[in-house]
Amino acid sequence: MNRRVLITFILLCLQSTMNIALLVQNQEFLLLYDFERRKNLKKRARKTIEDSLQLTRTIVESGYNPNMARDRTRDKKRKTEKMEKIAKAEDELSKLSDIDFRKKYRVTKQIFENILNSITPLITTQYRFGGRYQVPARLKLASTLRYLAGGSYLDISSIYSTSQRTFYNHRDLVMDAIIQCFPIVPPTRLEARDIAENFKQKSDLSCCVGAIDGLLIRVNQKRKDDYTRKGFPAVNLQGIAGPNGEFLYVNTQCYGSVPDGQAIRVSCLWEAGYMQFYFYFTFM
Amino acid sequence: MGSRLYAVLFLFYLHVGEEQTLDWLTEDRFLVADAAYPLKKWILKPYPGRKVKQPERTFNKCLSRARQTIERSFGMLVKQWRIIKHGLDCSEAVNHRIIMTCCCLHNLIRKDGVDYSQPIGEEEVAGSPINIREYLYSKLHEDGMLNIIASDDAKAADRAGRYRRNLECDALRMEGVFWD
Repeated sequence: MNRRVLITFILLCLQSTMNIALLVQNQEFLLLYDFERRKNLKKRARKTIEDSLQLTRTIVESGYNPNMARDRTRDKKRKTEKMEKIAKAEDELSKLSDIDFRKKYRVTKQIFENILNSITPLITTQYRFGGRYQVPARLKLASTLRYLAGGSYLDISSIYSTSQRTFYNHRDLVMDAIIQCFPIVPPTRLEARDIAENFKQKSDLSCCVGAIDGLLIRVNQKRKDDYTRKGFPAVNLQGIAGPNGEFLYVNTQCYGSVPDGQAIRVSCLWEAGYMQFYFYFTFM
Repeated sequence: MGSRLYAVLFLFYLHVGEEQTLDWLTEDRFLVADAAYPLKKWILKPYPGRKVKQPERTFNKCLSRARQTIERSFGMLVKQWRIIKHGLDCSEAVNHRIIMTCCCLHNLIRKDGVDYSQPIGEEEVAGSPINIREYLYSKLHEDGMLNIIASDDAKAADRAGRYRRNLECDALRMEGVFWD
């Protein structure tokens, strides 16, 4: 197939001066493509027919149809069990004391509620299928927080009674929602003035608007670029912190092998720093 | 470099970009970094070497005092969100998102103003033993010595900062290099 396509393309390139020839070639190419597709379709159809024949044969032999004989009562029982488990997990979550809650999820109850209120519309699906139950948003958020606080996916999926795949889906949903709702925004010019004042109280430096540093975070990827000078594969996290320890800027573009001095050249900060000179030369 | 149109276009490009860093890093403002970073007009790093003389030495002290914030916040990030310490074993995009969410949550906690300095689950014991260093500091404060020291330090730091920046500007002017 590939060779044929290549040949036709080369022919097209050669004969591109003549429009009529081009059209002819195009049609031929389309025909070829159609032919191949039909062959594949035929193959697939033959396979399905064979499968159905096999099924009928088994039904005749054993007298049992696996597709038809589905135990509805068992399904219902399983569903009620799951609902009970979810209710139990929610109950346990509400019964936790303040200290235990902070130990488990690393945030206070109030912050948890605030996060939940702002991201519930992004997490929950708008409609339900038939008799399907939905894991409540509270448990989705709790499971992700527990995961980020160091819990294993195996334990979490058993505690919140979800399969491992659904847990990962919930985690991705919640993480996207949190990034969308509480983004890390660099401060405006006026906020930067307050930051500079705070820094002056802390360190007696005037006009300091942040402290920059890099952190190496261990990852699973084991390419050549990922290995750091310390010997393990990692990602280089560049962060700028304000006076109270909050992040003003975070960047994770670089591999672990990139040193800090090089990593800042990649980020847009580099251009912003040079804008000072631009201002100086053009407008003054 | 000199054309205004290009500068304006570049400004517009920065404005459109996702991360708008232009507003707060202007004029004479700067970031504080450690020795691994390049020395620029907007990135100040400490003077190298162990034997540094007096004005530079106080300047270095001030820089490290300012740099504490980022070191502490990284420490808190790693300690609170343990997945960063254990290591990330997902695809590249998901790893990136995990790190970003951890940073967002860290920011949320910081803004709320909860005191996380005290360990979780341990109640305060009445009549705790006196911290000697604090006691000495309080004594100094009563005498009014601390204020004098602090003011002296501040003056020295200001002087050192000005000194360093003048030095930099001179070096830049001498070499005529603005781009690297």
